[in-house]
Amino acid sequence: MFLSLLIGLPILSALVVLALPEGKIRIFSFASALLQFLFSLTAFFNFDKTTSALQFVEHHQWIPTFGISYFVGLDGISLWLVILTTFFLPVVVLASWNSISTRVRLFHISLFLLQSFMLGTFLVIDAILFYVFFEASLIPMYMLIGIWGGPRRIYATLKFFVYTMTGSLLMLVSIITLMFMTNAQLGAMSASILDFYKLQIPFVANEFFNTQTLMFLAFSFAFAIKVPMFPVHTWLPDAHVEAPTPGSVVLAAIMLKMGTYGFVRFVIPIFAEAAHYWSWACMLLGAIGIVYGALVAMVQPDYKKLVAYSSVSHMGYVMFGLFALNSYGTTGALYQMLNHGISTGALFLLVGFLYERTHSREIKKYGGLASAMPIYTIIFMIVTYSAIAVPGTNGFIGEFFILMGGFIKNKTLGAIAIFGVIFGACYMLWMFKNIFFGPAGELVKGTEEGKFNSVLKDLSPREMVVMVPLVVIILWMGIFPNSLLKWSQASLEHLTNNPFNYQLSVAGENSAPAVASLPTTETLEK
Amino acid sequence: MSNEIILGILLLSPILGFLFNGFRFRSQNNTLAGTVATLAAGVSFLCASVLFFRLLDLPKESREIFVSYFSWIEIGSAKVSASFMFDELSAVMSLIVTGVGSLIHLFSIGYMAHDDRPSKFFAYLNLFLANMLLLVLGSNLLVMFVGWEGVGYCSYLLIGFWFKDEAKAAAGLKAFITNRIGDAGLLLGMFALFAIFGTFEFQEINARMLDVAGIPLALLTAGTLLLFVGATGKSAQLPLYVWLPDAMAGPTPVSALIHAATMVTAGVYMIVRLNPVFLATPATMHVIAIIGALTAVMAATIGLTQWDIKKILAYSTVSQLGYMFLAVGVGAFGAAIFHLMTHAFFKALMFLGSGSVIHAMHEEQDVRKMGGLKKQLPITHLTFAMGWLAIIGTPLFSGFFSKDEILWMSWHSPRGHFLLWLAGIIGAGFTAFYMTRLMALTFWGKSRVPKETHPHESPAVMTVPLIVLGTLSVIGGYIGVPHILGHALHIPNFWETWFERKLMVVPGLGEASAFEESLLMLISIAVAGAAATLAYIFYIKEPSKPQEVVSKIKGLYTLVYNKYFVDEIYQKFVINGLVNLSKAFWLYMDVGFIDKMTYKVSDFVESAAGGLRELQTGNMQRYALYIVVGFVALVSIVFF
Repeated sequence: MFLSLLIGLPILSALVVLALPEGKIRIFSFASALLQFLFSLTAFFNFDKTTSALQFVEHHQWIPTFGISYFVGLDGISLWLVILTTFFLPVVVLASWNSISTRVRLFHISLFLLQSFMLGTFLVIDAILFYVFFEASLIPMYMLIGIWGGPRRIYATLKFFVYTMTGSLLMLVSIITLMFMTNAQLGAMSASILDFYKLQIPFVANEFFNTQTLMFLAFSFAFAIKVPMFPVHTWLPDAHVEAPTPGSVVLAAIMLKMGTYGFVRFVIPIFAEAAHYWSWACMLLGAIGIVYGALVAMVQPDYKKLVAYSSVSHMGYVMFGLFALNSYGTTGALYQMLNHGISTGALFLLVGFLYERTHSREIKKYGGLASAMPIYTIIFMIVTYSAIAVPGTNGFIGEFFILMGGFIKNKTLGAIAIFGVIFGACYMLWMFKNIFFGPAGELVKGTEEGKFNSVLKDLSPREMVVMVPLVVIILWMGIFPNSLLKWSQASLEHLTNNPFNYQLSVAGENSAPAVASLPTTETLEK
Repeated sequence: MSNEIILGILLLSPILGFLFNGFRFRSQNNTLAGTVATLAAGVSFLCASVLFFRLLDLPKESREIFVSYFSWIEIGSAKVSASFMFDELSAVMSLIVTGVGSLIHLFSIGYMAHDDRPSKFFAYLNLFLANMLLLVLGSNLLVMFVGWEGVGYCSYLLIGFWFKDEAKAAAGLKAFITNRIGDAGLLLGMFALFAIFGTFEFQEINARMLDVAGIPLALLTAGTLLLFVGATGKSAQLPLYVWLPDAMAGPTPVSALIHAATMVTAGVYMIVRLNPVFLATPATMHVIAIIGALTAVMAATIGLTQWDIKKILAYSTVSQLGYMFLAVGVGAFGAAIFHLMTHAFFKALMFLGSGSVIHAMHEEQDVRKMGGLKKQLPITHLTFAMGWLAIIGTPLFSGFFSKDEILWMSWHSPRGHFLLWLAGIIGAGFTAFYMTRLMALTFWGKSRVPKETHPHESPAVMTVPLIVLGTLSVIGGYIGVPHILGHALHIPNFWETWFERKLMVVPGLGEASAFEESLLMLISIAVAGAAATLAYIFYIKEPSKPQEVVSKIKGLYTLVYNKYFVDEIYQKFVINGLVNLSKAFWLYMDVGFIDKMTYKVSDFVESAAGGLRELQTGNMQRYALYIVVGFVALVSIVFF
């Protein structure tokens, strides 16, 4: 019941919000979100970190004819992403306490629905259900941006929606093809990912038009848009700039991970031959994303857009590491997913706090903010260090092992990707200098000499409550990475050690029930 | 107490100092902040000393204190611990770092007395010290790298300490970015080493190098070259030295500690730490020696022309670091660390001395507005003079021993070359000239101090560190007296014995010829002496001479005075180029191409849908027509 509760509680909360009086919505939402986070932490009591098998599994037939079932499970790969998701909900609710003032009820309902759908995406093992959650999560996000967004929000939401939908449709076609293949090869139609792992999908190395390569491309396209990977990244800066702070935070911290998670869960294990054959191309796109995203971030006049492009760069690292297909790259990539969630989430919160005060995102109107808001500056500095992977912060662990894994796999591409280390420091510290250092800028200056703009109050206690946990996590993950990695180690090693015969079992069973209960091919022929 | 605990205190003491001052960063109590920070540094020095004596007690073959605190990262076969090694090399390094560091902390109490954010300053200074200790004590490349980047961001914070000044903030940014370029190389070098050795532990890597069979030498050479790229960033060598002169924007104690005595020597330390690996890649060694020699000469020439007292010292530092790399490149690892130590003494001394001068001159740094300060600043002058004598290589001062060892080895070592030696000698001549020039312009001759400035000697908290460092600059060289002098003076070469086990000797190093060695020594003394005398004549006896010479070589002078326009070239071709490229990417690729393409696709879909919509107009006659066409088509397919 544990995982169903994780997915179901947000929906329940949304229903409660529907009935609550306006004045109590925020406090209830925060309490509920916090409890859900604490509840998700109880996973650690029962999670067996020695096995790569799926745990807390629930499996119920849904549409038996097509082998579609309600099938949820948790393993070392999804564990931290689930925790990341539940962690950010209370953060976001608290952060939007003052900034969202219209349609408060609908806002919180959207947040809770989004939460449920995102958790569903990370937890379901059934491909059709995965598709449903993957797509459904677009709707609340569409509302978050479209209702509470900036002036160009309609353009941005449409772009966001159409981009992601286009990719997913190709994925749906591939999922259906895979289901037909299970029918042919395993004797019964199944939408279980575990059965997809068992398939022998025809692959021809030097050709483009073969089943595995095409399906690999279809899936990759869908997830690449979500990540987003160069060159299908242009929806992201627009979506981020127009989104309200909570929307940006959830989008960056969690929704983008749905794309990279898709690569780990589907693309790499199911289409192993194609993934290995085309790994250089994916690494190349990842490396381009790293460098390109950083370069374009460097010339942004708008700090929110700069952070958005930094996401393109950081997610490029994840892709680069994943397609190194060795333990360093894969582990680094998983860690980087969390890092990006924490540090980019924190960055969007910070730029949101500043925007709430000044209503301007233009970097050149700032300057000398460090004197006006010292605590804000310190926190921004630490988050900046995390974003540029200074050792001692979480970012370093991820980036280092991604780059190492990539270098070991392909030295040339490793040498290209390393430029991200340089350009990353360029755009972040350039922005930092122009906002915080130098003489007081247009927005920072006060009416009197030596005073600052009166709106520039340092962080409020509420904002501190939002930011301090993030800072602690940034440092903790940088100094004690093993405390997180040990929970995922078994799953990640299982993935990298079995590149061409990856199977996932369910804890406590010898093989996945979907297959065990099915008639074999021979019995069908008789 | 056990070694674990002492080493733990050694590392944690500055971190605690950082936290203490960091959490009360608004406090303006300079004395409290400074005292706590200095004590924190002092405790570290004490711990380093205790460990040093314990190391001395150990038998020579096993002089090593290894402590592992916890497993840091475990991924696949990469198992990295937070482990530290106190051996011959890290002992010397940590004694320098904490010893000189403590003195500079003490000095800062006086220097920062009038600043409005002393707590923040001392917090950063302590944090720097902690990172520097991680760098020199880490037993593996990864822990070293934590310190390596750590000293980098502390340096960034301290260069831009007075961040309200745009130029100072920009100098910090420049330092960070330039260092990052080096770090990118260093990272690749670490990856290459890991790919070869499967470990980050120094001891294991070095042990593996005892037998080079089976090691891919091409990859190893690439790896060491990349590591050296990292060193050129951190240690301000060609072509990445440009950040160091700008780093003088930071408070002067910072320049003394970070940009002279400790951080900038990290590259030398790293290479010496991996000396068996570098020794196995002669190509890299040649590159290092050449870059070192070129940097030594080039930076010294710029030093000849500068007017800012700190800039002169900064270029001097770049030049002296060049000597250290020259030493490393010819395989004289011991000499490199020896010079690193003596340089830490005399350059920290001179930077602090310049701080005392700047303090006295009310933030004036232009030597043209000084002169004759020896009357008002007797202690500063006297101690500065010790540093001056040491750096120009006056016989029996510390710099003489260490620099001479480098020059000798660049001649004598099989990896050496006549031209390397010649570059060293020329650089030494320039050094003697610009340092004498600095002395003459600042302390000697007639006073050019503006009337409204009344220079005064600094308080004891500042002069005591000067005196201690001055003494060290004089006597610091006696632990490494060369053999030819050692025999005459009956002083053994402690230095060589101490490092015997750690530093490999260049293969094919021949027996030293006493005649050759003494001859070269005499040449270098003569060159330095002549250059110093010339500078004295130029700037004291005939002050019009420099101008005459300059007017004769106008073009060359302009080139050198403007630092060979390297900054301008970087700005124009690298920075502007990148910015323009990035703008083009953004405007023509993202907005202009990718978005346009997606609009095209969506337009196509829309128009295609529009085409299909035409079919369903609701017009009965049209539908009837479709039925007829369809029927005819069907019939034709079926029957023909």
